[in-house]
Amino acid sequence: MLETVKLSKTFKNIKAVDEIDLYLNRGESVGLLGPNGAGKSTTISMISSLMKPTSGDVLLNGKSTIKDPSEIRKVLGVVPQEIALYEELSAYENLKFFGEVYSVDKKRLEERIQYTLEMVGLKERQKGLIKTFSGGMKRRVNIAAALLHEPEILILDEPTVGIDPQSRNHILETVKRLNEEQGTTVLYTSHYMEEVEQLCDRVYIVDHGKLVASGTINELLSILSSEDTIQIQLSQTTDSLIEKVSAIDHVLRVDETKEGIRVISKKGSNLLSQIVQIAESEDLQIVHFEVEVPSLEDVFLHLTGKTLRD
Amino acid sequence: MGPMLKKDLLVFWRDRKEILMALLLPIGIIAILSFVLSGMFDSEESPVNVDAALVIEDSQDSGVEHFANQVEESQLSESERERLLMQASQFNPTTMLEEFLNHPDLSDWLNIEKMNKEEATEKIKAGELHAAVYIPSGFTASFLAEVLLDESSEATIQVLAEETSTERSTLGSIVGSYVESMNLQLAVQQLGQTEMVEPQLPEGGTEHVAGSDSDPFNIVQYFTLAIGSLFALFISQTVATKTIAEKREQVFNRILLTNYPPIYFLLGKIASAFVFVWLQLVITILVIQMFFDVFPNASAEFWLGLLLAITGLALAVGGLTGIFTSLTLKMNDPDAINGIATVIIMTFGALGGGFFPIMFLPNFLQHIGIWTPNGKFLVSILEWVQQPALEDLTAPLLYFVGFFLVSLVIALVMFPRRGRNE
Repeated sequence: MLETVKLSKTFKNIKAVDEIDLYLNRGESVGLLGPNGAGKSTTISMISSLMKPTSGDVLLNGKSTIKDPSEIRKVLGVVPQEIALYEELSAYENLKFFGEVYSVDKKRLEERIQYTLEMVGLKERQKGLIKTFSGGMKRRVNIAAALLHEPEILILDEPTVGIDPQSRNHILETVKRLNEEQGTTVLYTSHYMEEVEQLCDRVYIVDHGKLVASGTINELLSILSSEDTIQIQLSQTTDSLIEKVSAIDHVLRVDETKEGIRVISKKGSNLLSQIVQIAESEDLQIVHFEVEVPSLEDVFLHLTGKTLRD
Repeated sequence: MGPMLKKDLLVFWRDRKEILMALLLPIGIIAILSFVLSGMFDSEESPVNVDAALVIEDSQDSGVEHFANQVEESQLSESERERLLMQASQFNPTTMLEEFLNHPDLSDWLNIEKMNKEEATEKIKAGELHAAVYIPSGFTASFLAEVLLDESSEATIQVLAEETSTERSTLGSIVGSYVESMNLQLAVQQLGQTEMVEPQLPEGGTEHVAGSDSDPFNIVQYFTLAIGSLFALFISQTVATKTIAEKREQVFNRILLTNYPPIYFLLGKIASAFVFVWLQLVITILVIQMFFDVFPNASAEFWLGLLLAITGLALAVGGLTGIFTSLTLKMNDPDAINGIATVIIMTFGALGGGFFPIMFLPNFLQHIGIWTPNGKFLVSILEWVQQPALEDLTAPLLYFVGFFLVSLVIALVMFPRRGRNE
């Protein structure tokens, strides 16, 4: 349905987006993951026709949208990272204004306003001025404004930044409903891994403007599936212990942590009894141990060498 | 464009600070100036009050008799003698001066009392009187001989006072100008004109800008219109710079994504500036009129003309708003945009008479000033107040339409193509 082909953007010799290829099938929910400054918002600006790419193309149903963005604008709903609303107007007045400029039929618009307000849980507060709303409420109206014209594709650019857990859950539930019940195609950018895991079928990971990995959640997790990570909490850590554990067969790496050691080994190595023996021989007590299941965060760390919130 | 206009009006209305700036500030400044300037220029009471005595030692009859003897003894022809005697009998300088000094138009600021010289001198010494007008014995004879026989005058009117003061100077100057006026009158009669020329009464203290056939345009009216139009210019900056927030908060981008023609965004700003300026000026002038009666007894025709000129100015400010809006969308530095708008408005304000009367500017600046929207508004209403004639408003209205069209073209040329960042 929507596709980017070697999409690139350069600002004064700095490549913000570097030949990104991604696609969205109808009804899919796709995540775009990356730390701050990775190029997510620039990519979204180019997809939504607000920014002209330096090179590459954006295709809607196989047709380029660069020269004539009117088609993609018709089917696209964009929730920007900023609260793109008039603070001096009420929630209702904002939605009415945006509905009118979206050219939604007058009678239909009234229905859509009430429907979207109900969807984001603010029907009772529709007369309140935006400037009197909490950050979470503003973000919910921000989403409602993008839904007035019943878009087929919804792009959300970090819609949950800096809000309370209740509003966050509400937003996630709204997006899930839109995708699952109404078949809206979703492109969701975030640096909150758990949101992407909860909402998206497929994920693109970007860093420094480049696509570093893509696939379903399971496919991405399988990048780390050949390894086991064991966290061991010890009464004390010694160099001799680290040396002896590192020498065990199938151990790939041993890192010293605050409370003990982290052992990364080949999957299914079953090292625990050997580690217990070494600890006893060193006169050290094992306080706690845990075999970690890899997460997208670990995948991201593995691929980029940094955490998403860096 | 309707949604844009509605949105801009609502946003502006809800911004109480802007409303206060746009309405209360000009009304407040004009009110203060009206209060201060009324005291300085338009007070009903005269700034100078003169208490004076009129001392007449001259005798009209003996003066005319003395003059008749002089004529009889002269070498003039019989007909010439008869003409001079007839003129002398019709002209009574002492009585005329007395009547003049007691004229009702002067009574507001000149209290004159007839008394003898001794009494007058005593009262002046005691500080009860500022001065005395002294008409010496033989004044009529001497005056008639001077103006009709061209002989040197021996007896002249004197203004007696203890010391130099404003009151003494004022009295001296009105007596001097009256005597000159009488001389002129006699000279005109000598040339054969029979109609009497009315001597001009001195003015009491109102600043008249216009000619004698028109109603005067006073300083309070001037500042009402000058400050009103100056603040109208600021509306263009206020409306246009709202775009900075719309850009920063991505609202403008959200509008672009709706496929709504971006040009309507620009036209919406122009239309809202037009409405704001129109309302601002109408409300400001109405409030000032209600409290200060700035345009007393103004006709319906006058108010209609004023409304037309306000509409013209609002159109011109709308055009200016278009330029500032396009500039805001084109540039990324809000401080630079505000700076440019402020410089343009302040320049228009200064040249167009917003800070001080345009007539105090050097001639070449006055010529430039009347081509600014506020200057044109001010000058056209200045003329309109004095002599409402619809044809006099045609040129200014055409100017406003022209200014708007030129500004609109500039705004459209500067407006970013499709709103897309390159």
